[in-house]
Amino acid sequence: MHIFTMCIKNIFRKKVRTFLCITGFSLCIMLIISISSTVNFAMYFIESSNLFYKGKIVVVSKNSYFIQIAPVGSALLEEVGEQIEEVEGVKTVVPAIFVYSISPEKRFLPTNITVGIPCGKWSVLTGPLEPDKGGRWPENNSKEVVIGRYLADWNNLTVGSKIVIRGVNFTVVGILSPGLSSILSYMIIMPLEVAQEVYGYYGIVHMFIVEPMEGLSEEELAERIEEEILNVDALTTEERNQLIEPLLNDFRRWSTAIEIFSFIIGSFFIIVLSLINVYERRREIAIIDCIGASKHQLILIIILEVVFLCLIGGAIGTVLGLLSSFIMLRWLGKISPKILLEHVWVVINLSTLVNVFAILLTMGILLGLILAIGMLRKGAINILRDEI
Amino acid sequence: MIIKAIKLKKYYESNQSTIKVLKEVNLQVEEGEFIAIVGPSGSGKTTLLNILGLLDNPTSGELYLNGKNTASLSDKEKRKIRLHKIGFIFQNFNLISSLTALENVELPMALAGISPKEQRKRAIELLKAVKLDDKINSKIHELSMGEAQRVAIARAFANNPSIILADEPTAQLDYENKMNIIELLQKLRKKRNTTVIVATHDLSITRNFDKIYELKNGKLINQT
Repeated sequence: MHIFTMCIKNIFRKKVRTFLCITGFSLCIMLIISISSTVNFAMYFIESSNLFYKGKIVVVSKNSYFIQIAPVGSALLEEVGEQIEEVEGVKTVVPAIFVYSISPEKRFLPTNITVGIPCGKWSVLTGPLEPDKGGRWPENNSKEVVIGRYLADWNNLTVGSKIVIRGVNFTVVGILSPGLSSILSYMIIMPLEVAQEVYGYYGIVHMFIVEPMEGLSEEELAERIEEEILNVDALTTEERNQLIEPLLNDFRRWSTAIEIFSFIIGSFFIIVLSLINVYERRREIAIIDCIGASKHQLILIIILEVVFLCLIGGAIGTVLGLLSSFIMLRWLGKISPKILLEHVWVVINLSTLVNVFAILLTMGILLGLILAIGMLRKGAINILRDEI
Repeated sequence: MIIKAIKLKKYYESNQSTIKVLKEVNLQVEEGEFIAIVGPSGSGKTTLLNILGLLDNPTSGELYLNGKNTASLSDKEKRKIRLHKIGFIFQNFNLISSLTALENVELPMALAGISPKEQRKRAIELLKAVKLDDKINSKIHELSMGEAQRVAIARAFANNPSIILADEPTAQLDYENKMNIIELLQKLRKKRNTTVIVATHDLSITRNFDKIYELKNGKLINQT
């Protein structure tokens, strides 16, 4: 029999204690992993939206808000687009409408964003992303829509499905499965003039997406637009990101605080469990001490057990934590399984896992050392006397 | 001379008073002797055995094992002597409950770095010697008191020690088992030429000992 074998046998023979210890460790790690993974994904989700319209200027009405992808409280006449086109250095101008919908009747979608964009200009919003195989973009002036993957999955819609938006019948002609941003997954994209008709925005748009000519900086063109056209804000990529940055910073601070808090609670329980585990074995360790085990062997026995329990509990806790994170994101965050699978390495954040395991292992070893040294100081005979 | 104790004293400080457990113990033990130390509970037998077994230090006095003064030994050296030269038998057996009878006997050998194959061979031999060959894979809680003490004896002999220190080895046993244990110790020490020191309060088991000492008022008195 090897000492290591003895430790392992001991762990598996004391089933109740081992089960309780491993369950305790697992729950602690599950708490830490599930919170940090969910927060990681949420942060990625928000940050990825900052990449919309990169390298382009967004023109909105003065003093309106712009959050990542769409304006709030902005309304511009369509003619403003023609004025922008006349500004020197403008390559293209694309008008767009954004309507946030919360369906009170729950007839169709729980939450979605309808986007109206001129036919053929879809790439200004979706980049190189095209509808999934079998789908296409809507025809000019047609009652056709392309919808995001989440909306399609959640409502069991496929290409050819009929949907009703504000009393108007539409046909789904394409499903969009975004790899980068989940916001696209919540969108209903339709031709601009149809969106204006359905939502009653006759001659009105919410924003213009402006592409500068080669060699001209965003800042320079934005300045020109604001100088030449009254009552508009021309937002560069940097300015748009700056608008969301304070909000993101707040979110980061909160998420860090939550992670630290969960880690402290988790660590506290791990320490308590380790103490209980070792104290429960005081007598056995004292017997081995009496027989003549070296200090090195005694420390090894204590550390091996604590580390082994930490690692098994850690592994189970990690799996449970990731599972609970996926469940939370799927059912509470309403993220589609496809997006979750595509972003599996965002949820499974390797650096978080490595950190958790490194800290856990360090704690296990340190605790084992402290407890072993404490027991050695007390002396085997005194421990055995106390235990009688 | 395998053990020589000169003016051993052991005092404990307690509530501003000093408890003098061993006042002046002198003891000389030859190799292979079978010795009993008798005395009522609380007379200091366990304390004396702990000092002789290097589990505790005397307040003053000198202890020589195999001619070497133990005062000069480091903790590491003491542990080594305990593992290789001394076997312990405790009143309440002090077996490891999560291990089987066989694994308990293997434990000292595992600590001594003996190969698993050799450990198993020697452990089985020892368990046969204490007539527990049918209980090799039994858990400790499946054994009777007498059987558990026999496992403890087998464990004490595992590393072929030159000294066995048995602290009230028969205290929890009935008369028949008591006599069996003492006979077993006799038999094993003869076969292996081991020095055995038994501390007991039970005079009924002391018939076949080479020497009997009584621990009285912290002093050891030769009764033979």
